[in-house]
Amino acid sequence: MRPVPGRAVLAVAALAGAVARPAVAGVEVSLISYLSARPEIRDGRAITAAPLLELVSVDAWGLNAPGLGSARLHVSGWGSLGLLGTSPRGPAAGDLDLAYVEGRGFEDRLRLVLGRQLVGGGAARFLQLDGALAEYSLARRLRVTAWGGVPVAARFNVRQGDAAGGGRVAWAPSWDSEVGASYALVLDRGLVSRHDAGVDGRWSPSRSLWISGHALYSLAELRVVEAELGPHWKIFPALELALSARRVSPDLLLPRSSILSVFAEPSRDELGAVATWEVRPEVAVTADVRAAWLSGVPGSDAGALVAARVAPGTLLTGELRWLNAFDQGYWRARVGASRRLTTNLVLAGDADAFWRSTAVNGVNHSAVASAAASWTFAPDWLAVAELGAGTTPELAAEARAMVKVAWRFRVAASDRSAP
Amino acid sequence: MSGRRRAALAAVALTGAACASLFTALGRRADGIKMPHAKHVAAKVDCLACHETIFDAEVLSEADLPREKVCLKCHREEKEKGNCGMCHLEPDRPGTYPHQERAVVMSHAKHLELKEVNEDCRTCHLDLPEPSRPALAAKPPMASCTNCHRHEQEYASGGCNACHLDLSRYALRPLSGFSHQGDYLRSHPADARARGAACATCHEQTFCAECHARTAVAPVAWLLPERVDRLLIHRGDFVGRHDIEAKADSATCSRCHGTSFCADCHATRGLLSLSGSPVDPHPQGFSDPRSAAFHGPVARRDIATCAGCHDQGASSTCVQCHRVGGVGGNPHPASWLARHGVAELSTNSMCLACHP
Repeated sequence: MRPVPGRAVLAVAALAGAVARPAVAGVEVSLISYLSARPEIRDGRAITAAPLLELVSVDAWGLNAPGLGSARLHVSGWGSLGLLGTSPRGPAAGDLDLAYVEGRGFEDRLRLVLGRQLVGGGAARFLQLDGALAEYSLARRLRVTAWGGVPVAARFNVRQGDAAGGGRVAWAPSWDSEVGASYALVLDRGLVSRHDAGVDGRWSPSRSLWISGHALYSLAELRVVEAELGPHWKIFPALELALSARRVSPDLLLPRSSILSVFAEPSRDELGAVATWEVRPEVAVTADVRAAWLSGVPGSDAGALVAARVAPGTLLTGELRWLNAFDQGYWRARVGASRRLTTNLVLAGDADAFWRSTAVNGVNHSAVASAAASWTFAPDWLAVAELGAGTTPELAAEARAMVKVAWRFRVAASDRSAP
Repeated sequence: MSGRRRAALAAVALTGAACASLFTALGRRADGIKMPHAKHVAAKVDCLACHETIFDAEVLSEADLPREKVCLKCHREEKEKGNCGMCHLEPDRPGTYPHQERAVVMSHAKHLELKEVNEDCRTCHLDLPEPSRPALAAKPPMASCTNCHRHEQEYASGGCNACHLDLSRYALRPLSGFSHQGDYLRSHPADARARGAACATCHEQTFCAECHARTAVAPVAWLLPERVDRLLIHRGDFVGRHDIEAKADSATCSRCHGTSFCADCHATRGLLSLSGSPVDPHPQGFSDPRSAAFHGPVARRDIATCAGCHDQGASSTCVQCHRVGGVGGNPHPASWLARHGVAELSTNSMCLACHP
């Protein structure tokens, strides 16, 4: 069984404590079970793996938490059991994705989140951590956020560090505009893994134009980690155009405590444009093009996507993409369709193929297709069955199957009426 | 039993206890208070007589609902007779008002001061709770608010959270100012970084965690085969093209997968051999300094991809050749010494891997 760190136990214990006085306005529970069979390569041989996977989510709101007014509890996680083709990491695994209590106090000026959470905004870069976040509104438009804790280990047990802390100051002159300055420090085995300062902003001079950008600067390396700026313009109600210029230093997304962080200082620059045109209310076309330079070596990327609602309940999509990744690339084509047959039954199909410029295993193409049926067989219940097959550079012929059953149960105290 | 195994079992037990506690709370029929407002109004009882504290209430709170002692001012006789059922829905287990989520920002104190309201509760409370109707149905409708607060600008820009504390459980569509059309999968980080509060109007962090949680169990594309309309990064045979995608934008991969992800997966698949394996990720001549495909320039340009497999700290392949005195020579980029002085050798333990 995959070990659950001791700190996760503390987090869950804190959550259990929070519900010790169970005055709750509502609870939503979601259980999703997956049973699938798909080919996998193990030690150079193809085997059939059949994992049973369970996703669990519990969300309780309106908790009567002392001092925090109306609080909220969320716990979500997963567990898996290998029925066939057990993973080398063991037959069973599981983890907590989120486990936090969120409350507000001081006349809603303070928002406090305790437990396993995702921290976003500015330099935090969506860090998942076991810890605490506090956000305080100093004035109506000025907000200060501080967070700290232990970064959560990624899948496959990749360390993210021993401790992390940071914060952000933001001023929002309007609902859709904001400017912020942020800071993040992550330590790993006593070494600086990441030490960044950032600025970010979104400015919307009109309803049809908004400009967003951010820059992150490494205080450890005194270089720009990444910077991006771009306007988004709704030229007509049916036509949108987005432009972007981006620079990123890929090596600065490696932990500074990594031995490979001393080897290179590459930079990747990108200019891009995306246009979306609603040809008719039921037909939309999106086209994008990007030019990139990796330490001066050029690459490019372009694609187009068409989505058409050809009849009520029927959606067709088609996508074509070309990617030139500096010294190799691919062409990719994809078509998809979904059709609602009845109120409760939807069929969907998907075919995806690409052609590589370089072969793998002597094969330079791949084609996979799948069909899925989605059936709402009872209120709050959904079942999905999927069958897929294809030929890939790894496997001359492959087939896979999956069954999913999802159940969502919700009770709200305020839904009750008096007799 | 190992400490970690015990910790895991304890976590499961505590989670179960927390869930059980919640279900117990919900499964039990909670008490509530029957309050026939119509009878009280007909008896010309002033609102203030029972709701005195509401005149100073800055936020919505159950604490401002009348306490029992207020009711007993008139109905003490019924309590003394044991007629608990007169007010309590569950007289056998008498409690207080059912707990409700505070969903909006609303100051009764400020509203009651307004001359348009003039301390008349019926300005907003067009309908009052009765025993025959759930309390929720008797809350003032949003139209009561918009009679005075037109909020045209907030509607236009989606500024709902000035009043609504949480809209994430409502089925809303993205507004023009935050249009999710086109390639929003690629462009959404800019909005999330700089205006996460706007994202949070509709999306809880559970939504973000589907993709961004490092603990997530599988790519979303695997879990949602029925959503062919969604642009998802790992759709189709992503494994067959992942090397090209990683080369095109390794920074995007490393945000989620970190170092050693690649090595772990390649090890599971038995693809780590460099001895002529057809899926060896290195081209011919990768170790030959005379070859155009020599690894030095490639590593300078794309070290994040190297780190995917070779980030084993002091025991990594790179260190064996590039350590001081090794055949690989000095690996540091030209500007390295400008930022990392020799003194760092004694303070940064990582330096000792190559500079013993």
